[in-house]
Amino acid sequence: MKQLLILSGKGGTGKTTIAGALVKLSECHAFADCDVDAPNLHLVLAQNSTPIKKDYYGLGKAVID
Amino acid sequence: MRVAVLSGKGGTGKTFVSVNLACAAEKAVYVDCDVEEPNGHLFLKPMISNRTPVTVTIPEVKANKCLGCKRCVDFCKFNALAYVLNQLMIFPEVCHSCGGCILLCPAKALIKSERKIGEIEEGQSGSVSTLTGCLNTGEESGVPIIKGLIQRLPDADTTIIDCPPGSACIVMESIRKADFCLLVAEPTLFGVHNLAMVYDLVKLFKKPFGVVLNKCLSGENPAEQFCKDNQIHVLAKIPFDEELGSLNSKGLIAVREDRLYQVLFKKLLEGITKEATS
Repeated sequence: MKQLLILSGKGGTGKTTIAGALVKLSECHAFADCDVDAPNLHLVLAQNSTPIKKDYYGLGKAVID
Repeated sequence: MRVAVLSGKGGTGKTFVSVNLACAAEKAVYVDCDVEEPNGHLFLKPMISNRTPVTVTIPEVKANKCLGCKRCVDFCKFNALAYVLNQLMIFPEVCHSCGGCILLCPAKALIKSERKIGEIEEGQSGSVSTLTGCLNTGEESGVPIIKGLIQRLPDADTTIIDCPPGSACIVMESIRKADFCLLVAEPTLFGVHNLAMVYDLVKLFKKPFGVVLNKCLSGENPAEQFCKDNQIHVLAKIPFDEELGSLNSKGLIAVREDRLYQVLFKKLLEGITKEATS
């Protein structure tokens, strides 16, 4: 599987806009929004079906023994 | 008074607003907390008077003392230690500086050591003192640098804190000591979505806040609508102005070049002072 990465350093240069256009044009099978602090790709690629949401867990939490 | 300027989205004009606010004050401190990509110095071009390295604590192994019990390896949740071919290896880049391995080692074979992750630059640009955090490329977290910057904040003077984008740890650390949060919003759907995130954040921190609408065009402005719907105080509207764009792209400071913007930012600073002290 070929993977194309889009990055820029500075904010607001158009990463999401370019990614959205390439997702459409390439008819790709999968895409990922890695801007987890402020994800916006879903706003341009409005889904036809309702997305499935799953909780994501980081490291375990401390408990008192 | 300490004003944190934040936005959620990148490229909305945090640095532009921060730098111009600092220059509109008679005397100010500008703090660049966007440590991954600090740009304020491109506008202010400060004379650098001091550079301080920022380090994090990592373990160092005294190989002749290590018993090979692997207690440290099993303890580290980030896999920063590995026991390979009868030798303990440390991977400093993934270490989170918790110090647990050093505490646990029964043979005292692990000792504290420092690793440089970036630096803080102190400088001066006219009436503005500058503090710039610079994180080395490829580093995991800029939080230790932000902590170093926040420790250096003066009590007096107008202090403008230029925050990184987003609403995670690094932003929370940047706004922690702020008296007022200024949210910069652009009139796009992306802008509104990310404005909503920082709006939630400043409410969570119970900080007084207001909005600056940047890049305003005639016609509908979804960011302005969001402010209306949520009864958020809009402190200033900055037009989508070709002249302004030209000044910015040359790294010139609008307040120092254009009387109109001098008035606009002085008024904004007055508005913030009123809100922050009321």
